[in-house]
Amino acid sequence: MDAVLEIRGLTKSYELGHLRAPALRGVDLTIGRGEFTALVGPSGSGKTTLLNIAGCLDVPDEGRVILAGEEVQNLKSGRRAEIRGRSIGFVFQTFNLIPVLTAKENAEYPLILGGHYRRADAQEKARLKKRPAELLTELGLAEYLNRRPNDMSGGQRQRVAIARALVTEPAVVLADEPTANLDSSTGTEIMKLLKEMNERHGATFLFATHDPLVMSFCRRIVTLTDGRISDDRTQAGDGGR
Amino acid sequence: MNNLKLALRGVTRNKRRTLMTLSAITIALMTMVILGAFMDGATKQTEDGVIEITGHVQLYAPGYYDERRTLPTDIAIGDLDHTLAEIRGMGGVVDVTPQINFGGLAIHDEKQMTGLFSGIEPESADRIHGYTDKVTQGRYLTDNDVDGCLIGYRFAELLGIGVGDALTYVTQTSYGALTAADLTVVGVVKTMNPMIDEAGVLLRLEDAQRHMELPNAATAIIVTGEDADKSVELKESLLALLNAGVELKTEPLQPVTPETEDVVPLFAEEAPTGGFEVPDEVIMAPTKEGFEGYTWYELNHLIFDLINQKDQMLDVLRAVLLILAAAMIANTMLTNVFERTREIGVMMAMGAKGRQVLLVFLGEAAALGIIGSLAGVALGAGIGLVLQSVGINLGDAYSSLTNVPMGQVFHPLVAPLRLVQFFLLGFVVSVFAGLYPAAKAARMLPTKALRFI
Repeated sequence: MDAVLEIRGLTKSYELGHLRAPALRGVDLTIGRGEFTALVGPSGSGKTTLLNIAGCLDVPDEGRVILAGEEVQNLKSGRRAEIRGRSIGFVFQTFNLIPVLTAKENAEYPLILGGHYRRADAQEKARLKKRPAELLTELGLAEYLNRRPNDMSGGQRQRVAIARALVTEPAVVLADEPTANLDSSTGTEIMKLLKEMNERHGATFLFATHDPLVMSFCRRIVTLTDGRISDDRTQAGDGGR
Repeated sequence: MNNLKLALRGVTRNKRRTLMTLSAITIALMTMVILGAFMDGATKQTEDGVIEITGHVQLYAPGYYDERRTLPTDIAIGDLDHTLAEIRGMGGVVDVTPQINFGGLAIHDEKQMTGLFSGIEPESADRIHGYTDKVTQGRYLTDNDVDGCLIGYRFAELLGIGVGDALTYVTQTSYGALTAADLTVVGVVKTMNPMIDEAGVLLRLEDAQRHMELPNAATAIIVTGEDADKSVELKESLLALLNAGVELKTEPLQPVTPETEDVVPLFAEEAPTGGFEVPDEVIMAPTKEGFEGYTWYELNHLIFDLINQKDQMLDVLRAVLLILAAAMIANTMLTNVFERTREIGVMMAMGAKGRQVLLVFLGEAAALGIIGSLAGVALGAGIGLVLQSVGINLGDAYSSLTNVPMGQVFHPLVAPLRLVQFFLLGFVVSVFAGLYPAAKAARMLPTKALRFI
């Protein structure tokens, strides 16, 4: 399995007043294409920091990050933005949809911001144009394409957010506590959908989570403790079925 | 979905706040348009009034302009018939009328008041000044009204004189001798010219020439061309024509004896019976001393300076209005940026560069600017057009008090170019006001923005 994300010797610390608090203390991690991985650990263990650096939202103090074959840790912010738009999808705990856009427009927004339409030829553009609606339909939102987020339930919103994360066909989808704002049945439903997307489209997922439900769906569980990987194991990842 | 659509959606997020911001821009622009219409109307109406009074260009004998406040009759244009013929034959000249202006004491019954007397050619003066339409009692002066006169309506009230009454005036002839004459009032006029309304008496040029001993002469020649805006060119052409080969003198003319020039003092026969002593020397109207010319703008530059000053004061008011509107926009945009910090983080996570975030927020400021400015300009133009067609009655007092020839009913003027200017100004100021909040949004770090609650 070829790697979509390689992390080597990653360190990151934050200034807290006069103190420097280390968040990551030398992390090595490789995520293969099509993996469905949970990054777990207690609060403050460095999960979100690792996700941010992997997602080109932040830069490490030291170490290397290779995303889809490109070393990204030293890139300028504009170039990192391009890589985010092209190779990474994000799913957030609080959905973070744009309230004035419809479900379809929200799902389409990364294609505009990331310049996908601009770069595509006519045929590819036509394909991309259809993709937001197709994904939303696949996620069971065919009837909600023109609804705005405020007129949708939490589960529906998160499904829109998933469509938004997948619309650019990214190398990896980074999901930070995707079920934390959902009840357990909706959470299960969302995880099933994500798993389906993983299996059907071969999309790679990396979750930062505390939620045993999320863990139960993941084949690989990477545990972070005090900024270091303390455990890396595989399991059935069938959601307890 | 494009950026404009997104910007429009953005401004509808918080409708109440958007409405308040739009109100500020709209009110500012509306006020600016209405104030502009008032200013433009005042300028246009004053220009029209001034042009009706002064024509496009006035020609004098050299030195007259500097002395004009004393209404000198010893600085006059001679060889008038020939001069008028030359002017009338010149291309670009639409009309010409000569005039003799002089001061004197007007007497009726036991009342005496200082008056401003003008000898006019009734027909040509009417064409330029439109006197016929301004007659409120009696009728307009004709060439046959020997020693007839028109009188300003306020002057008539002050003197207690009416149509058919006799008006006696006492003045100095062009050579300085006291003289008196009786005129009969044939009509009362109400013009836009406060000088005529308050103290004016209009008589035939022929009578004025005879009384003032200025045969075939005038103190001013009023010329109109095809376009008031080309008065400078008209003046230059006239002076080039009339002053060809003439070395201009700037000093008042010196009296010459009748023996050396072919002019007979008109009062020579009347003087003994009228009790005046005829001097040995009389004024001879100039023939070869050249002309000086002034456009309507030059003649009334004080009025226009005043208008320009008022315009500058309005500029300050406009600036204050725009600053207030800009502050509202900046405040709204800053609040938007603050409220949407997480959204900015999400945009960045999806690949938006700082420039794109900047454009989204600038687009919203621009959308606010376009909507508010359009509404303000439209409302202002609407109100301005209503006022323009209805007019505002200022009463008689206004032109009497200000000496500005505007007439009683003031019509604001909504100028399309001004509307475009104000709209663009509103738009540019709105975008400018949105610049800081948008830059603040664009400079955010995605991780911090995403953590923002």
